[in-house]
Amino acid sequence: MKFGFGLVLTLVALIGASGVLFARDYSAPGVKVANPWTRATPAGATTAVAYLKITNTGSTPLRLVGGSTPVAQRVEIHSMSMEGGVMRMRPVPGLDIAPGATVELKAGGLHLMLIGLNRQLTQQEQVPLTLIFAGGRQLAIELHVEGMGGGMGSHGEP
Amino acid sequence: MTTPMRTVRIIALTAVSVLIALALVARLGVWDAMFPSPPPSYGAVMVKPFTLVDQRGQKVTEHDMLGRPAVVFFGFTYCPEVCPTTLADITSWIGELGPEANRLGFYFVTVDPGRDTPEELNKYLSSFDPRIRGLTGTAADIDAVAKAFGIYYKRIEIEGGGYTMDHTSSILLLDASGRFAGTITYQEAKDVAVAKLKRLAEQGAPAA
Ligand SMILES: [Cu+2]
Repeated sequence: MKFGFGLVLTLVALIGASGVLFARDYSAPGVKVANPWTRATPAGATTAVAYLKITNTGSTPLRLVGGSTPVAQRVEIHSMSMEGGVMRMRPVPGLDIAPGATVELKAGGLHLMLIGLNRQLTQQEQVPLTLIFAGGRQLAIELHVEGMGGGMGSHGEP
Repeated sequence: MTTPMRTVRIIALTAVSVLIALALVARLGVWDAMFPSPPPSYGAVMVKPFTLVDQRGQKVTEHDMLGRPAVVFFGFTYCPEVCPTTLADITSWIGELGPEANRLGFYFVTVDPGRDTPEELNKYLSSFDPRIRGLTGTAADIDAVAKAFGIYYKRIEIEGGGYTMDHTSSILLLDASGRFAGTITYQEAKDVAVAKLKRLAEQGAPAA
């Protein structure tokens, strides 16, 4: 078992946070996270969203159950739909990622919701966040903060 | 008196009339997927008498909204994606419009008046173009305005505490007399949105 139980895997930044222009990829045995990003938040905003792509590079099922970040009280997994022009957001208890599969959390759909923000997020900074998987496995990543209006159109594949 | 044959004919005629009526409604009404029910039609008067308060604590009524075309978006500050993105979009469109933007009124009406007090709105909207007027009020007043504008919203309790709001995500465009003049959908291309706003601004210009 490459991806140890209860093991905290922290990826050290390859380059310093300052001057980083593009979101990076993070990997640990059994999991890869690509292009984690969020948007700058308006003054006084109490929530933020984070998007990323998670690939199960291992041979056992992977289940994302949540996360934590120093900038918010809690992190939840949410789905979002736009059916009939109505925006609906619902908490999702967990995301199962089969071996070899990739799940994308992206604008207009699944996202990590940062609830109870304790400060404003500003463009170009890096925000630490720890992804929590079933079994207590964790992966520390950093969200790259894009502009406030950053949307689906402006984010192609890295 | 009525023979079975006549009954069949009456039923057939009724069915045909209903179909024609439905076809007419579909043609006249804007079957904009943005509105679950009922969709507004072009020219329908959306602005009904209301009293709300803006982010600076000033009273705002329908008279303030009428007189120039309006761009109205319903949302809430707890909303993490659609609302800040839309407000950022509106801010960039205003920049693109330049002085023409002053011929339009821009409104952000909260569907969550419990959390979105004038103070909260003021803080939140300070991150966007100052011409966007944030409106809040009592739950009943907000409800009446949302209904008049054909906006759907619903409070959804979240397990483990807190709540979120489902809400119509498109922007309403109204002419200077408060009539429905179109929509801008979420994430509409910037050039399309700006073209719509330019057209709206021209419609609202006094006749030469
Ligand atoms: Cu959410």
